[in-house]
Amino acid sequence: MIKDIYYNLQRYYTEYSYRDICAFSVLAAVTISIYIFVSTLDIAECLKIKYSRYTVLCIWIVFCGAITYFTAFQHYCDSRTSYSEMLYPTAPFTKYMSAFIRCFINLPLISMALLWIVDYVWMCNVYADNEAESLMKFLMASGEPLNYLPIFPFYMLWICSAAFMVSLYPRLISVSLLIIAIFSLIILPGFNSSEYYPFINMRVVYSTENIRWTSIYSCLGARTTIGYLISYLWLIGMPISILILSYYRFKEAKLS
Amino acid sequence: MINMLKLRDLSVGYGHRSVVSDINMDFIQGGVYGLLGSNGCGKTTLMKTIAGGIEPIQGNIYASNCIPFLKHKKFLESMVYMPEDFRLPACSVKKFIQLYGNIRPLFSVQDFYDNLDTLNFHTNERIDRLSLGNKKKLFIAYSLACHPKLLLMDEPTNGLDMEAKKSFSKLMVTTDFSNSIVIVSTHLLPDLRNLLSGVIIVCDGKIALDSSIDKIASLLQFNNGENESLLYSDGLNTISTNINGEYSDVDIELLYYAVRESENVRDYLKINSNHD
Repeated sequence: MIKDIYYNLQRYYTEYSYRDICAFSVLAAVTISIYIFVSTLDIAECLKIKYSRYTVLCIWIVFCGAITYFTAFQHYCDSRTSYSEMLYPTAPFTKYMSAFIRCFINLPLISMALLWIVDYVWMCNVYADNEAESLMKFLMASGEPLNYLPIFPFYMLWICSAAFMVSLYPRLISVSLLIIAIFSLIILPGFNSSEYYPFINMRVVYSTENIRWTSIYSCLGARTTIGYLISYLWLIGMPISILILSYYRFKEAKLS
Repeated sequence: MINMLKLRDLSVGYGHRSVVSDINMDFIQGGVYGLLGSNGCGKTTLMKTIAGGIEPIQGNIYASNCIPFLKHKKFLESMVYMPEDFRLPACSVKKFIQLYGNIRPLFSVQDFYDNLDTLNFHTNERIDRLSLGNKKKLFIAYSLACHPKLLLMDEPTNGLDMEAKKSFSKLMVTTDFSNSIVIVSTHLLPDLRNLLSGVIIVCDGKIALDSSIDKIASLLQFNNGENESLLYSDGLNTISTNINGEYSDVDIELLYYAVRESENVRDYLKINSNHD
């Protein structure tokens, strides 16, 4: 199976690696533009970095979702190309896993690495002009590092799962299901407002020595704990369910 | 490994719309079957269903112990489907072999290049930029080099020039299909005349004829002029029952028109014919 996944990935990257490189280049260019633009705003230096990061992370989520939607199962809707994908001599699960690896692992990691590089180069440049005692203290003062915002990878997982489903199911059904899912996200806190979203209710404590995450978990009552558990299961379970449904839909794909 | 193909009470089509129904056929290893019919009669739909690309509306397809629509790896490795219209990837011939050939257990690189030579394919261009004819040649060479147990070719000679059609016929005749089931659909009957061991004619949403060439030759006489046991005539050529037991060459084109137009021929063959 690993060999077959390799063949499927090799097929894609042989043909579309240039296209992907162009997409990553556009992402890098947009990221740099945002950092440049935000740096012109009349606000504290730390806030500039923070706003830049939040903005590019949102763009990163949209980027991953869009690339997933357009490339995950791109040839399955075309009568001229669908046969070569569907009838390629590997199992359907292998083909699905290849698309999953490409869109949920390779794509986010490579694009995130690009954001990291831009952010690091920018930070070093800004630090050189700054009078902070050390890079570490400057990093702490400039807000959450890029990889330390768990809600963003989670949103990316949601968006890419949704992209999988929309690219496989008829538009009306998939958009309806997504609206229901999003609505359920909003009305989920039947217990107590936004206290039950596991990621939102983490706090970052900055000190001169380190950055520390705290959770309100330690001071929860039973009702709140149950609410948190339900929300964890629901929020993780939804994309997993979408992926499983998408797989069974993918298995039944037909030549047009 | 596919060594037999059976279609039982099969209806094929799209959604709930049946294109061809009541299909009951057996195919055996070593057979080369011509699938004939007019435009839109369901040849391509039937081939796509056998290939596993479309789920049957009704009935079953048994390819040894595989169900094609489930697209198990074992079935897909042993089957090659060459559609009428297709897209080749944007890569070189060498890369194409790496990506699409090496994954097939019986693929032979030497046979692939020999087939390309026979078809007079000589170009180093990227394969997605080739002309239709050259793409067809490449795919034909690839399909045969895979040595599949089930080979489905939909209009393989469309887009080929006269010389290439001749080369294709020569290639098909010289290729060893003793371990394969080959189903070829075509409008161009003269191209296939010397290749077929069986004929399937689709007409009006049904299988009008499903028989081996030998059986047809034993049942029918194809000659010019009048005959007392005449079944069909197009003005010059005739088909009559084979009273004398003399073997005559099967005129597939004439047979096709006879089956389409003459209920006598259909009924006579239906009563008497079967695949060997």
